[in-house]
Amino acid sequence: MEEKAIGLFNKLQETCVKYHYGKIDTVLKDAQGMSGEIQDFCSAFLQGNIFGMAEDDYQLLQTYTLKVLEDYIGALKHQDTVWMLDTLDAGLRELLLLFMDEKDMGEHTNG
Amino acid sequence: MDNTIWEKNLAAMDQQYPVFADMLRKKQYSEDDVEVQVEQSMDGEIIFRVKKQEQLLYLGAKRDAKQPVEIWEELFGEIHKYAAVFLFGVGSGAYLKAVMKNFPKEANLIVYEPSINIFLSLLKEVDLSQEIEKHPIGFIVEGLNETEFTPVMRNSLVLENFRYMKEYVHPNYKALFGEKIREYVKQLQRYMERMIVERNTWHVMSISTAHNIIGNLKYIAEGYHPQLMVNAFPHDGAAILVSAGPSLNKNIHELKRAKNKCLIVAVDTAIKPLMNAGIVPDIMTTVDALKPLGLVDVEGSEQIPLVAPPSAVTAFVEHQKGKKFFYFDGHSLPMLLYSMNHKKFSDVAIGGSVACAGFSLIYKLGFDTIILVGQDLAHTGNRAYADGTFQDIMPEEVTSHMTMVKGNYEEKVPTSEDLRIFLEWFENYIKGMKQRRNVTVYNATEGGAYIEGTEVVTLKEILDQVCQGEDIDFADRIQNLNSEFSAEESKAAKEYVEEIPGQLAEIHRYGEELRKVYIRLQKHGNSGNLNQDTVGKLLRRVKKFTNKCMEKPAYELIEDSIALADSLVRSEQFEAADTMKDEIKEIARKGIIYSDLLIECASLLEEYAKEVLLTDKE
Repeated sequence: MEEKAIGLFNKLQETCVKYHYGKIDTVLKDAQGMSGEIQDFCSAFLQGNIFGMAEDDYQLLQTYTLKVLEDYIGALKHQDTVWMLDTLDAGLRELLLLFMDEKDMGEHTNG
Repeated sequence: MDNTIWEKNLAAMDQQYPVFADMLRKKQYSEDDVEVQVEQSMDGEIIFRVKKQEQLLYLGAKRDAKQPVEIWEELFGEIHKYAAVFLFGVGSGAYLKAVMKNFPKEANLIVYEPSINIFLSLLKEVDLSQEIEKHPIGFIVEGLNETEFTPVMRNSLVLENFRYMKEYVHPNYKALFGEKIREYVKQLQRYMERMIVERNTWHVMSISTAHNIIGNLKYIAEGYHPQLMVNAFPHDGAAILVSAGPSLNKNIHELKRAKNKCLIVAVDTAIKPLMNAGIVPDIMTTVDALKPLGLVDVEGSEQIPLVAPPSAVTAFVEHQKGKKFFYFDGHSLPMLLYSMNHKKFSDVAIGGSVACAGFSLIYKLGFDTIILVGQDLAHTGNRAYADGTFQDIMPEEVTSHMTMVKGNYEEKVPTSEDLRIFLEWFENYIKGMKQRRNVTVYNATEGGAYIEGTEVVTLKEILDQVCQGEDIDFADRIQNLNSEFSAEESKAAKEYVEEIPGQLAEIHRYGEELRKVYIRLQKHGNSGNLNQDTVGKLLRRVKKFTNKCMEKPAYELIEDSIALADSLVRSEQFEAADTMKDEIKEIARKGIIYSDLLIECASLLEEYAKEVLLTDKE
């Protein structure tokens, strides 16, 4: 999971940096390209409590994950850059960070 | 809907632009087909989701609405005091609020909103009253007052402030209102381009600063800067700043007895009336890059020591045969002559006018008693300057359109917008001075605007107080000052100055290379077969040659002169964003304009630099 999280984090980071700092808007295209990895990563949270978490916490995590996926699909369907960027940057990022420590994030902090 | 917010916003507009507020109240607009849904983000911000035909898009982020705006705000950077800022799309006002946080009061903010329904929702849902009251915002709204875009753009953007122009298109507006936004951004870009290609104006205005710096470099290399004067005279006396306001006529004769009792610093415009009244000031200051030499064309004025920034008119500098003191004005090339010798190049706050610079100079020289004369900062008696400055008798002017401010002797006096800005500068500077030192500023201008923090006195009264004690020959002490540089350091600085024509020649050569690359890029864009590797390779070469130009210190001179072209190239690549091919063609087109100007400017400056910096050597 850690490896998947790092791979996805780096892609997400590149998209956000390009958008904010390079004024290059490839958010929807990049997000579409990440669809397989996003599904793969998120499905791990939905296949049962494999992380040995407290049941209440797991429920929260599951709801959160479903909401991220729902937003991802909604943003893609409506071709909504603002929605997608928020889903990746503020939604998915939180899930990815669960599997990463500071060194994995390198120089890239949020934004 | 919250009527309170709507009313608050309109009440704020009443103060700034009542006609516009009235149009909104009387519903003098045509609504469009945009539906606005108002939501709250998870971090508590009001966000809009907009439905336009089949499209349904957010204008603010659902989870973290603040973060993208904060990043944008940081990257948007500081706004220059004379900038024109264009926001295309207002959304729920988050970007507008962010830009207004530190918006300079002299700058212009123009907000174009392509949907009247979004604008109405904004005024109903988001309290913008503080922002509107703080600064007039030029709202241009489709369906309400869109015809005002062109005149507002022309009024806000002039040659002098082009370089500070900033533009931003609100997220998702390109998707929602692409055609409309494109139309206005295109109009803005075409307007900029027209200004750039109007070469005559460009030559006169933009190249003068670079010319002056080149012309002054050999004098700067002599190593005289104002800080050297700090220990040349005692500071327990007074210093007088003589400006050329119309009230100078009233008490100029009094100044004779101040000679050798007080340090007399005169602005360039006051030199003629002073000399004609038999008063030789100890220091003359000048700042403008364009000013007629006729202002100082009076016998004996050439011996007055000069204090100036490196960009001051070279003809002025050359006219003065006494000591020439230069200070840091933000240009790094002159500073290099000091830093290469591990010396500090002292500065003076320019503040926008020669009088501001003169005032800051006196403070920095250590005087705690400062007397202002002829510092009207207003059109006293409906005149702009004292007699004997630009004309023997200055004509009366129409002042009915001017702002009225508190006067020194009259209840209200008329002042122009630029003088009002300088008035505020004086007030702020005095406030700052007093926090640091026990400084007293006497305003002996017998007319004009009241400057907060000064004591209003007649010149006779204050000179009776300060013209005591022994005579001090200020002029002699200044003339006997030694340079900051040793002979070797001065030699090194002068040798560096002689390298400048060579640096400009190299920039010229790299400019030619850059142009070739852009032409290849254009040809490739026009060909049927667009190859990403080729494009990448060509863009890397663009970067290489651009960097090679920019790493030369002399590039600063060119950067100053072609700022317009530079801002055009950096502006949003918008109108041709439909396909990659169009985008490449647009980059190439703008790149060719840029490199043409770069080559022309480098060539002109190279010739000039050879002429003024190498002639003696040849």
